Parts: sequence; structure tokens; C-alpha cells
Amino acid sequence: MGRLFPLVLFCVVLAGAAPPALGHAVLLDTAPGADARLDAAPERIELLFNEPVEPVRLRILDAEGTEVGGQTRALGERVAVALPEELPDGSYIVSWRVISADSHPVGGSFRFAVGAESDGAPAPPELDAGSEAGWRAAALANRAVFLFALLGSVGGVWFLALFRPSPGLAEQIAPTILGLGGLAVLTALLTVPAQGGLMLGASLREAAGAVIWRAGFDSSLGQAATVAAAALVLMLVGAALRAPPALAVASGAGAVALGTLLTTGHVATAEPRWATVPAHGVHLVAAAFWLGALMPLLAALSRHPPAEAAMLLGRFSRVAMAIVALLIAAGLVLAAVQVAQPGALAAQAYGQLLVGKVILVAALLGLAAFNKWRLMPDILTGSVRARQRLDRSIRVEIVLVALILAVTAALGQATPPRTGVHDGHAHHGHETDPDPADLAPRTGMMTSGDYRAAFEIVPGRVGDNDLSVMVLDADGMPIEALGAELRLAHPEAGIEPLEAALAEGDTAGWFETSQAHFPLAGRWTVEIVVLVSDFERARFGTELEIE
Amino acid sequence: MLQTTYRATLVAAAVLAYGPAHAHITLETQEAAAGGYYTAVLRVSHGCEGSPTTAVRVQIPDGVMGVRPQPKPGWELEIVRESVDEAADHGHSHGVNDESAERISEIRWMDGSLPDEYYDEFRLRMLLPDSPGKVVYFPTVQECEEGVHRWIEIPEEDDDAAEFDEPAPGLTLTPAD
Repeated sequence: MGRLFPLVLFCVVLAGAAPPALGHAVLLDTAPGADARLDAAPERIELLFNEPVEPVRLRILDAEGTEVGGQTRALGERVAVALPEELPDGSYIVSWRVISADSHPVGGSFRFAVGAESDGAPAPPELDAGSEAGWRAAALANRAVFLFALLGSVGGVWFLALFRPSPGLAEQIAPTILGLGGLAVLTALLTVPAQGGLMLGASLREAAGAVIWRAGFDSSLGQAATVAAAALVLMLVGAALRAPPALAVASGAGAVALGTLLTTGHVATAEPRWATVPAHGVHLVAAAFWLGALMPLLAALSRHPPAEAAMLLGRFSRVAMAIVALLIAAGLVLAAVQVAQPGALAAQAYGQLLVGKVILVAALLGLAAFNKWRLMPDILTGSVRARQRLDRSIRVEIVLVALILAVTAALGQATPPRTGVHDGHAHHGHETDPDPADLAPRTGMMTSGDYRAAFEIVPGRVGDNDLSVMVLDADGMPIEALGAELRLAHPEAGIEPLEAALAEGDTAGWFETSQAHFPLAGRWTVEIVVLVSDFERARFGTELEIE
Repeated sequence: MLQTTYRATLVAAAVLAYGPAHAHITLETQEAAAGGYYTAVLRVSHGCEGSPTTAVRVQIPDGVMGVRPQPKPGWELEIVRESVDEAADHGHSHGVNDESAERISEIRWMDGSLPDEYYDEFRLRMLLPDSPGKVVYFPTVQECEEGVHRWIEIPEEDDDAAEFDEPAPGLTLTPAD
């Protein structure tokens, strides 16, 4: 008993020494100061806090979102970054994140400019169009191959586990499944630098460096892809072992790999989550099941005797109806959520891609129906010609699925209409600069508890914007709020919240600023914190795609 | 002898781990019997980033009655009341103090000065509502010579209070003995 006492006490101390936070580091001052405009490039950036801190991440980004390198050093309450080379004229963002002993991490961002400030007028930044397009294409191709390899290998493992093909057939199809799985692991890992390069708009020189890997790994997409790769490796080990228990583990690992797709992207953030997450999950499972079965069935068809092929095809055919129904139903739910108004479909890239996907899926379903009702009966009677036709048909199906997945990857890069705001413009891809006169301001309504906030951002593009917000109570009447703050963050690019105070407008509940600055394109989180009374704060938040 | 010293050290370590001053304003006792009398002790151990605290204002939540604050030398004590009608507008239940149709909505200790390096306690007696299991929050505004800290964040159902930067001091009501 006496021996246990120190151990118990140790555990108690550990438990007690854990959070809640004792105190938070506060940024007291920076050099250069926030929003400062310097004549000459600084040699270093310094941040001063009220207590000793440890830097978690400190980034300096230029107006294009490219990271400027530098060595970060922490000395007690100061964090300093020595800048290696002279910064060219322009605007910069310093995004910092630190942690103090026993405390929560704290983060923020501030801007400064060297020489003439980069063109703050509402025009898109002068991105190197070539490298941007290159990264988009690379990320797209990688994603398409990844989706195909992921669904094909996971579905293939499920086929092995559920349909129990004969050892001879299993021997024949295993290499394909393992090969696809390996390809899936490779493309999953490549997602990290592809996403990093895309986010940073990195030049080719930077592509060789570690910076795009770091940036990609900071993104939710990069992290999800890494988890997927790990799960896939586990799945491949289990699949190679081939024994039923190993296959069961492999099937589970495959499901986990599929599950990572649910954690990030447009669909993952769509509300209502209780509908979209299960629908997305069902959609993925059905698609994997279908694609994963096609190649084994193809292999079965080519074998003699045809009895096993007929049996497998028959079993698959019975299940396929249910799978198809689930696939379509889930797809409809997701499409309905993502496309706020059907009228928007034609005009925007997202809508056009979605229509394309639907057409391809319809073709696929037509082919599958043809297989089931016209060819299957002949297969079961042993007709050789029917087998040849089915063989061809399945190959076409596989090609169609590959095309569908390519379109799906493109959809992942496009902007769904539902994202937060009523956009007034028709956007024709990224090649032409939209005429500013075509752009309607971004507006929206946010809710927090009993309060609502109606906001308007003009013109809603990269650069300086006018933002105004009206805070209303549950009856829609403006309230006498005491103050409001604006926070803009870009989680995917790793930009911590940029803060700006909102000035009181002419009427009650009205706040505005002309300093709502979006330094980069991408998905920004906009948070407006309103002090409703001395004792009550309301936090409103939304996400906006800024171009 | 060695055994005793060893134990004493461990106990001291445990106390120290729990002991350090919190930068947040918190209640000294965070659990109390529902429906009973309770002395709330608000502990103020920091100013605002170095600036001395000049006022502490506590909002009295729904259902808490019979509030009596303790005066402090060097501080002006103010009791803010709202009529029961006003309370109804804000969605508060009727909590009647003395015979008037009013309830105490806020207690203020004003015009004082508590330097950042010092610690002080602000006390008030009250009668707690008879709602065992409920957590009652006392949003507190700390005004300083320069700056304000608003300890007013109240977690929703699925929030993790430990994640908040400025949580309101909370009191858990336990079943009465």
C-alpha cells in the first residue's frame, strides 16, 4: 500500500497539471509594427509577448502567398526571424502561432509593406499564370488517379473478402489489386506536395524544396491523404496474406482509407452534416464496391471453365441493383446540397462539370443495365459470344468509371454554388479576368444563438474590401451592440486570423470597415465577434471563396 | 525519515501543480449544493497585460437570489437592480429580492486599483437555485486602467470549456445532502 502512494500521487499530479490553460500568451508588440509601411526592407521580424513562448509556426508570405524563408529563433518572450535576403517591395503577411508553457496555442497575423504597397485595388494578383495552371493540372491528374486506384483496390479487397473466389482466380486477380493499392499509396503521398504547390502557387524552383511539402502537410487535404496512405499500406499487407482474418483486417483498413475522403473538401463541410456525411460515405462505398468488382469479374470471364465466372457474375448481379440504387440516391442528396439553385448550374464551372458527371453516370448505368438484362442470361447458358461481349462491355465500364472519377477530381477543385454567398457573377474559368463591373457584392446572413448578422463585402475579391455588417435580434430588429471585431483566416494556406476592428456606423447595430483585406485567393474563414452587451458576445462565422 | 521526506516532496509537488495563479478570473469553490447558501469568491490574480484592475463587475445569473456582496476598502460597491419586467424581457425568471418587484442583476466593485502583481478576492453571498446538476455561470467584466477583460464565454452543449480564451466563472450545482 505504501508503495502505491507515490504512484497514485504521481498520477494525480499529472492529471491536475493538465489543461485548462493557466494563461495565454499575448502579443504585445511587433517589429515592424502591424500595417507599417517601411522605406527599406527589414533585416528581421520580431514579435514580443508578455511571457516566454515557443514558436509553433511562423510564416512570412508575400502578396502572392509564396513563403519567404527565414530562421526562427525564440528567446524567452521574443520570437525573431532573420530574413536572409532583401525583401522586394510589396505587401507581406506575418502569420504566427506560439505556445506558452502549460498553455493553449495562440495565433494571429499582421501585415506590413516595403516601399510602395502592392496594388491594393480590387484586381486579382499577378499570379504566374503558367505555374498556377501547371499546379492545378498536376493536382487534378494526381487526384483522378488516386481516386481510381483507391476505389479499385479497396473494392477489390472487398471482392476477395466477400465473394471468396477460388484460389486459382484469387491468384490471378491479386496482383492487379496489389498494384492498384500501391498506386493509391503513391498518389496519396503525392497529394501532399501537389496541394502545397497549388496553395502557394510555387515556382518550379520551389517545387524541389521542402516548402511545398510543409505547406501541403499543413492542409487538411494533405493530412487526410497521409492517413489514407497508411491505411492503404495496412490493407495491402492484409490482402497479400490472403487468409480470411487478414482479409477482414484489410477490408477494415480499406474502409478507413475511404473514410479519409469524408474529412475534407467541399462535401465534408456542407451542411447539414447529418445528411451529407452518411450520403458521401454511402456514395463512396457503393462506388468502390462496383469498381472493385469489375476487374476481378473481367479476370473471371477469361478463365476456363466458365462455371465460376457465371456464379460470380450472378451473385454480383444480384447485389449490383441495390448498390446502384444507393449510389444514385446518395449522389442526388449530395448534389442537392451543393447546388443551391438549379438555375446556377449552367453558368458556373461547377455546374457544367456536375452535368458532365451525370451524363457519364447515366451512360454507365445504361451499359450495366444492358449487361444485366441482355447479356447475363446468355452467359448463364454458356454462350461464348455473350462472354466476349460482356468482356468488352466491362472494359468500357472501367473506362467510363475512370472518366467519371476524373470529372469528380475536377469538381473537387471547382467552387460549389452553395458556398456561403449569393454570387451575382458568371465566371468563365480562370483564363479571363472578370470585368469588375460584372461582379455583384458578396452578401450573406449569419446566425449565432438568438442573434443574426447580415453582412456585405464589396467587391469580394483579393485586395482591400469594404465590409459592413448589421446585427439583428431574433425579431429582425437592429440591436445596440457595443463593438465588433473582424477576423479573417485562411486555414489551408496556414494564415492565422488577421484582426481588424470594425467602426460603428450611423445607425444602431451597424458596423463597417474599409480595411477588410484578403491578401490571397482561396477559401477564407470570416469571423465577426460582436460585443452585444457588457456581458455577452456573439460570434458569427462563415466561409468565402475569394478570387 | 527518508520515506517521510520523499512523501512530503511529492505532496508539495502536487500542491504546486494545482496551486499556481490562474490568469483567468475563477471561483474558489466551483461546486456547491443546489438550493443552499453559497459564498462566491472571485479570484483575481492578474490585471490586463500588466495594467492594474480598476473594476470588477459580475452579472448575476437566473435563479440566484438573496445576493449580498462584501464591501472592500478602496473600492466603491454598487448593486444594480432591474425590475422584474426588464428581467422578463431578457428572458430571466422572476427572482424577487426583499419585497420589491426587482432582482439584482449585477454587482460592481468600482474605482479601485489592484496592481497586476497582486492578488485579491471579491466575495458575495447568495442563495442558489434548486437545480441539481446545472452549471451556473457568472459572466465577469474586469476593467483595468488600460484595457478590459471580459470573462463572459459560456459553453454551449457540445463545446469544450477548456478551449475558451475567456471563460465565464462557472459553478456546478450538486444534489443537496
